Amino acid sequence: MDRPSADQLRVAIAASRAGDADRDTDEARYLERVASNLESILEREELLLDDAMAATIASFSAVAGSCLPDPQPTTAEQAASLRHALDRGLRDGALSPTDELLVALRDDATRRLTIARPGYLQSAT
Amino acid sequence: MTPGELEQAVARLCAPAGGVTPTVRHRATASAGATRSTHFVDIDGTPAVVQLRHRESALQTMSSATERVVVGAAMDAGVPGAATIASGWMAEIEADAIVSEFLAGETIPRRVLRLAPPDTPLAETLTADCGRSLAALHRVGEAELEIVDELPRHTESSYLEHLHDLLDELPSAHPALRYGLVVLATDLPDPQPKRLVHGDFRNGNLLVDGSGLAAVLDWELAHLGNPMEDLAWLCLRTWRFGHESHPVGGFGDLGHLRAAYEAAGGTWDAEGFRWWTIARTIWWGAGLATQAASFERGESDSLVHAASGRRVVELEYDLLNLLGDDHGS
Repeated sequence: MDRPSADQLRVAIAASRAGDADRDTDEARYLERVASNLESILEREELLLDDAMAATIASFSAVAGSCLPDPQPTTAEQAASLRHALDRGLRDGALSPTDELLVALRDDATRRLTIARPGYLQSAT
Repeated sequence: MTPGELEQAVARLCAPAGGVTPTVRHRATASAGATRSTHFVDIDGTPAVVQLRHRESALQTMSSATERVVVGAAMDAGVPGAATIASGWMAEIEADAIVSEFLAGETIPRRVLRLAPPDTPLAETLTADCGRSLAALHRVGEAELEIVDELPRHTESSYLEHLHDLLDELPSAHPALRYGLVVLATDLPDPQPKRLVHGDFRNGNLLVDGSGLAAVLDWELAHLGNPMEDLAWLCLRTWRFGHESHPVGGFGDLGHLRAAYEAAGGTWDAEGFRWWTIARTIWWGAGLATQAASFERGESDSLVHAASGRRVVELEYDLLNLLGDDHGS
């Protein structure tokens, strides 16, 4: 999901705070805001992601067809594995764009945005 | 690089042949971008801007010498810009440099939007300025450019290949972006004559003052291609900064932009605009994922790059909504 680990982010936050301590810029204030919000967000996300990914696994499994890995993984990596399968299927032509696939992908994106960036969903037109 | 080393390098670059070396004073360092850093200096007491691109820059962009010619051609065509004072390789600090005149104004998007809030006369002027400037830029074709062989060329087909390569190189899979590529491949626009395209014309690279658009900045991604690429990129949701109902940089309306573009001689191609809106949404999603990957691999310690990874899903969501419009879902 391109989500850096909490430990990675804490190191980056510390580095950014140190580097921007003397600067009064919009960017510095943005970094400070990210830093102050991120840790609480991360804790909340860890709890919510499991539920969201379970829903994604179910919807992806319904549209992935023959692209599904066999045997299917049964760990938390299943959602990532399914994404790889869908990506490969689309790239190689084994999967074609369909309304069902589009809806499954959009529902997955919506679930992840609901957790990580709810404000982005709320401001959508 | 110390301020003193920068001052000496700029002085040497700006010295006229056989003339007196100017006195350069470093005033401030602006925020460093992903590919270059920007510094404010005084050259013999006159404010100027120095942009440096260091050798280790990951993104392949044009040389400062080529950029100087591109900026000159654009300004000759009527695009407001900052005149180039000097350009070239600075061996002392191992950087490619372009030195430009300093122009006053705002470039930080949220400040631009405070200066020119949507639905104000200044915002409408700014929108029209963008349309007129892009129409002027897009009048520049291959015949008008003396450095045409040094500029990249984008065809829709070659851009699709580029996007596939970007996705293939990512450690994480993004089927939503790949889905968009498959759709684009089935809907290629008709080939158009290649025009000079800025490549990064959006809120953030526009210098805005109380009169409107004072200058278009950062030409390092300029290339020959379809003009609709510039117009689509300007209107991506990601550059609206929360002002969703104003597609043009968060300050303007699409109808005003199109009217100004066409009144200034530009030809609006709705299908091309849509194709490039989808293509550049995919490009930016892949770009954010690439930044996040560089952080996760330990190649970057930038929090901005780390945070970029959290924004990929925004582009996926925008893309799927764009494509959903086609499917009526």
